[in-house]
Amino acid sequence: MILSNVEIVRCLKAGLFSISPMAGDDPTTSPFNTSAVDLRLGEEILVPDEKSAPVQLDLRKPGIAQFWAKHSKSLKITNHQPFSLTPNKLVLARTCETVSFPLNTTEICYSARVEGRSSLARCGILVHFTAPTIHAGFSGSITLEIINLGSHDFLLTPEMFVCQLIIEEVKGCPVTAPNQFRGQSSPAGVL
Amino acid sequence: MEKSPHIDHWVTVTTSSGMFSSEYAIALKLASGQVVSFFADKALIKEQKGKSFLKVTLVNQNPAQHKELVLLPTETFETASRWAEVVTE
Repeated sequence: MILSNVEIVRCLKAGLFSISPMAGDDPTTSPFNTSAVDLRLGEEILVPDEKSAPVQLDLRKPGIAQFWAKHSKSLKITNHQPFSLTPNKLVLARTCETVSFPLNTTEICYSARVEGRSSLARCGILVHFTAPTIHAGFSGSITLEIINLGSHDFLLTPEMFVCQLIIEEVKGCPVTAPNQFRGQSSPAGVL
Repeated sequence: MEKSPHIDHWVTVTTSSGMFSSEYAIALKLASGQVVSFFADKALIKEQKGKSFLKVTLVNQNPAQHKELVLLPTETFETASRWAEVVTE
């Protein structure tokens, strides 16, 4: 079941999940829509390195994460120095907001889906093109895969409303707590 | 905020610079011997005695085989899964 704007605010206030920092907490104004909350673009943009020698990615081999860390460039955007996304180019970015959807065994869990915005879609901008699910148990900022499918350059500016988050209830507990740890606060092995 | 009965659990990993400044690239050795990689926020990493530890969700333990099933913060590139069986430390 998708949460309404009013229900999102209620759950945030009850601490059932978190979105921080919020651009506002009035469900009848921005960043809320009737059944979603808009999130803002962070200031770090990652540009895949196009100058390296051609590589064929093989996910069966280890070190893919390390490869991408080595072959991308991090840029910090500002209002004075936005990033111009040219047609058919892909960059990665993150939301300003950090979200947290805890795994609960005693209360309802929540998950979310990140979706684009119609205004950006009109300009040919996809802010994610796969993997929209923010799973129950996830905590962190949301990584966006932004591509320009339009015919014009598009400016990415910090804190622009770039995507929307649709929040849903998860029926059933995704993971039960291991029996031997129930009721304990500091099991052996915890640092 | 934290109402989960899941207790923080930590597994040994190798870290290196990530793509975003707020993350690390992680290398994790599975119980099978396979090494997998993924990205994780720096907030999920603890350094202690020269080792790096990643915060995960403990799902199950098999003391007889010295193995445990954990849920990683993100899926790995090599297995396309968040579930990982690692050796109990």
